[in-house]
Amino acid sequence: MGKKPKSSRKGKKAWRANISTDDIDEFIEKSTKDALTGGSLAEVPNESLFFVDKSKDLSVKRKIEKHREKVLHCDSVLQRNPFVKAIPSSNDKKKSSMKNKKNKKDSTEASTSKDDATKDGESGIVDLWENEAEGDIRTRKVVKTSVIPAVEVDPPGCSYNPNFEAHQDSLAKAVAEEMQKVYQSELGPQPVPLTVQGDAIEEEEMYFLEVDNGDDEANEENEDAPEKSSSMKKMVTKVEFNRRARLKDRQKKESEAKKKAEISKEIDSLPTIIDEIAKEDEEKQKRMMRRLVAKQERLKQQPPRLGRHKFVPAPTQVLLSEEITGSLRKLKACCTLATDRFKSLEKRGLIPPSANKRRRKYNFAYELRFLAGDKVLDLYFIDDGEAEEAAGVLIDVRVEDEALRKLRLKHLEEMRTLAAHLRTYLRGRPAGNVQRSRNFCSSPSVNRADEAAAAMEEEAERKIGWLLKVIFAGTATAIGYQFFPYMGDNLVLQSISLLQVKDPFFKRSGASRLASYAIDDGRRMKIVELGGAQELLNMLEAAKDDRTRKAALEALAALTKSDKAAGALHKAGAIPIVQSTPSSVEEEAIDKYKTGLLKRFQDLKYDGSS
Amino acid sequence: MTKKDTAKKTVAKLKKNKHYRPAGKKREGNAARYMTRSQAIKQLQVNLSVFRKLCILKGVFPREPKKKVKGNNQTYYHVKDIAFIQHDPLLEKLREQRAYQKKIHKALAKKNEDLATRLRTREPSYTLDRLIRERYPKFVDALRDLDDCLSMVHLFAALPAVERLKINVERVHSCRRLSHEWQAYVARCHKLRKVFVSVKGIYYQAEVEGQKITWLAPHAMQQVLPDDVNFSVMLTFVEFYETLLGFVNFRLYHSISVKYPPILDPRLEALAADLYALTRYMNGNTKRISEEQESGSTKPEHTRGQLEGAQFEESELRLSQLQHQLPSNEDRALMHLIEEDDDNDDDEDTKKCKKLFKNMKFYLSREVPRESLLFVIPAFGGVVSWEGDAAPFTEADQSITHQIVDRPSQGHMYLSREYIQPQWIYDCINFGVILEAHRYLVGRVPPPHLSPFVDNEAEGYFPDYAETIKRFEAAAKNEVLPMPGVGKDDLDDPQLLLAEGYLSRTEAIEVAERKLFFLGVFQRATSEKQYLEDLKQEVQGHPDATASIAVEGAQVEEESSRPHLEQVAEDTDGTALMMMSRRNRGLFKAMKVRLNSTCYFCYISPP
Repeated sequence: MGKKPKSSRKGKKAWRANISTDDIDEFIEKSTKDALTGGSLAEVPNESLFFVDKSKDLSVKRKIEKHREKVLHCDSVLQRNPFVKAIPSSNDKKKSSMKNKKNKKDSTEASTSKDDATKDGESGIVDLWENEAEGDIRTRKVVKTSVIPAVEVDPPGCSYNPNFEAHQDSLAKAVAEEMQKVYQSELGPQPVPLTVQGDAIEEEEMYFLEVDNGDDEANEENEDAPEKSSSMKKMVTKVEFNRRARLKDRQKKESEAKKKAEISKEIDSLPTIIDEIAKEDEEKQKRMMRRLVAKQERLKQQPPRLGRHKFVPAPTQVLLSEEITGSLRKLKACCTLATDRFKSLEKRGLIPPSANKRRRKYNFAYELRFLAGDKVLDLYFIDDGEAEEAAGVLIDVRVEDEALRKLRLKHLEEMRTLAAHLRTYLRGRPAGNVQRSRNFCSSPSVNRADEAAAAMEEEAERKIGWLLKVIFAGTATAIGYQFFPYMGDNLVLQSISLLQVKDPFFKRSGASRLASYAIDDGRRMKIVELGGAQELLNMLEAAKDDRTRKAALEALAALTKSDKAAGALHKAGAIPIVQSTPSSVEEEAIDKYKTGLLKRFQDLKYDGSS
Repeated sequence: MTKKDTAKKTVAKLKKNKHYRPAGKKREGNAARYMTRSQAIKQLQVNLSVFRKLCILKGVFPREPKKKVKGNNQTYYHVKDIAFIQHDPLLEKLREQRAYQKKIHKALAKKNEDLATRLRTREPSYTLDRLIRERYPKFVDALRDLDDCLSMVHLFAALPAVERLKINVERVHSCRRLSHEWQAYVARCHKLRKVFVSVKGIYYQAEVEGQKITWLAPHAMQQVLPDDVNFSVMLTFVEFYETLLGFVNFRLYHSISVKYPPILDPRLEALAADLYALTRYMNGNTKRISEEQESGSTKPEHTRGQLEGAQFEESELRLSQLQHQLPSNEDRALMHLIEEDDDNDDDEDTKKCKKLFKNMKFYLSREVPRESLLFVIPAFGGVVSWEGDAAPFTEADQSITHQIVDRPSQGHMYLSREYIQPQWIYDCINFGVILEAHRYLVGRVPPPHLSPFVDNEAEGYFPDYAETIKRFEAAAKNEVLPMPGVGKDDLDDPQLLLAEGYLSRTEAIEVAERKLFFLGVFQRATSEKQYLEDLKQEVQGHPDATASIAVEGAQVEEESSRPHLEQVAEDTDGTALMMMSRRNRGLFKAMKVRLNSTCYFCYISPP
């Protein structure tokens, strides 16, 4: 084809020639291509284009198949005979058919649940109990594990602004709980000491010890042996033998006769025996009932024993008398509700009680520093005993009240220990030591340590008083014991500190403890030495009700049994105080004690006037 | 010893031991019925933590067999309980999760961060819906078991998020949301009955669908996380309870026709006024739904209908969003939760609770426990605001009747309102009456806060303050007698009237005043009888009105005051009494006593 001559572009012909037919060409091309290949891929649904490769790992499949397709020898033998129909050795088919059914069911369930979920839009929450009347879902009888309610409401005394009587009740309960702990640790068996005083025994000596013991036994046996043999060897004469035989006969006859008589007697008393048996049965029945009732009662209080550990109830949360302000803002509330809920779970038997964890030892100085925040940034940790640290920090940090409050909320347990530490520390040391402890904390106030020492001592005492007040809701604690040389002293100290508390309940309990403690002269004097006499007198003077007075007088009476103690009491000005005690109508014991005391003073020639 | 001998012995043993059973064969008794925890773990092929989780989620708890075959130190489970766990798909799911975690660990160990992150996006998860349906087949069952659930959720809402204990922020937030949703429902439907503030926390009791639900919410203060609490166990419980409370809330919200996952105003949410946002949401939502129903049946000529009438075509979501964009001050009535029309199906307690703080407006100072009071006051029909952003009204609002403060002294005081301590609210709720406010004024030590959970009659001991209040109640009972014109049925039930009697004291006074007004207006009425009839028609809606209408001495002046009314009544009752029947005379006397008596304890709201 030759080259076309170039024509004008303006004519109709040219216009026609310049129409582009690309798209038409393309379409035709495409359609022919589609016709040849079998259709456009864009319109075909995904399912026909892609498929899920279900051919699994071949090796594994083969293994399973191999296992499944194995025909037992007996079956193969039977198969050879066309007249015998083999009984299948296992119900494979049944199982597989069931499985299929289940699968189907599952898939339908899944689809329905999906529909439900989509029904409520984006939330995915549906009304679970929409068709509860139908009861289609497989349910299970719920076993009620416990009769204890999930949320036990506190007694009215635990209110933030309680009624007086109710509060006293709750307080007494809380104190009783704490006291029980104290007594248990006091009266319980002493723990086996980790170290025993004395020299270590060398290994060689140990051998000797054992050998000695063995020798003794052997000797004894040797001594016994010849005697026995000699008695065995003694000959028996004929006369003696006969005599023995006769005796035996007679005894036998006698015993038979006796037996007969007894039996006849028993037969005679048959009705009474029957009665007795009936009574016994009744008794047994009653005992069983009692046990049953007791068990049910117990279950109302605590869970059954579900594991290795026993359930320990959480302490009662009650305000102390001086903490009641009547203002919600100033309320010292419990901040360990998590413990409460956890204990509730344990109490209802939902989880087995866990071990009462011995907490890891806290470093109080660290704790205090943490609490005091920026104010004690430069506190160093020292090895000279936690007590010193804690005391030093306490005295040093001006925010101690705040810190203590927080501490108390956080770790009551630690507070107790802290109190014990501080008490030992401050009682046992002169003021210089306090100062020393201050020096450990390289705080800016070191320079004026000297002149401040006395003031600080005083401050510390005041703080201790505060501490004791806070803590002596029946604490003063077993943890402190290890710091005291021996037990008695500690008991006395504790009781005396109880006397210092404002609450009459504690005072009474302290006085009664002193009274029960003062059983010999030495102990009485110890009480007097530790300042118990003065405290008792103060208590008697300040007491507002008869019961407190009675308790104080009882303790005083117990003290005056010792001459020396009576002398000390006299010096402390006991006579006018006792005389001025008003006698009561309700409590006759007061008068009794009072006259007894005065008589005792008279006997000892102490004048009322002097 | 020879072989023969041993054989003989075993034979003898076989004969002697009645219960001999070859090893591995089936057993009976406690040994067969119970298994120890380690056996159970072995059987389920999971580790201890997963086993604990499964037990909690499935509601399988340890038991105490009569005979502890394996010793006293073991924890025992029933064999069937374990089988029950074994058949649950959840077991498989948890195993799967564990396997998946291994994959992630492996990827991390091989420093393959990409794979690890990719794997993390598709972790297998499980839902507890089925378990809840299984454990609580009926809705009532779920409600009965809600005590623990609510306490736990409220507790976790107050806990700090601690990574060490795996208490994450989302959990705390969702607990907070759920607890607020529950409180909003309880407040909206006036279901709250008792509140007791103890040292531990605040106990609430609500009555939902006849079930008494008690829960304990912590005080608004920092909670500590003690060492002796196993938080993984607690978290599993919370996980289950969260789901449960979600479904319960869904059901409850739908029962009052509110959409469930509530959409809250983001502004209020940011200001931590969730509860207020929720109440607004609920109120708006119910209103809208009721409007839609109205518009379907009648003409949409409602005021609010006009506001939103044009937007019915739009999606509901858009609507609710629009509504929340309204400035909070504009729609003050939203906080006011009382609607007169929808109380037809409420029980008496609810009606009473609804009216306790009616027509009262509270303002909370910043030192009072806001969360608790924001929940409690609307639950008893009061309107409340607080000091802070997003509050519905400010302290300067003149219509506030009570300001709740908890400080030694109040500086600037509005004369139009009472300054009371928060305990007043709680005590009013517990006693069901409006107590005299003077004992609870600022700076005073309030009377003891008594526990409403103690049945004094059963205990046989009445605290002093309870006695005082009871005496007031008794006095009121003698004085307040049923009104004439209420109907025989109501007359038979003086208790019912009594409940309303306290609260309608103000109403009664108003009515008396209105009567006087009527008397003035109709003074020049020609016939006395005609006049009486007219009056009766006028005050038909006010049953209290009738007795003193008998006072038809027509010479009443227009400017007559309250004592004047009584004076007139005294003057004329001689003649009036003559005209009445005996029964009516008794009623009239009762009426008089009521009008004369000054109700000590009843609060008289300022006009």
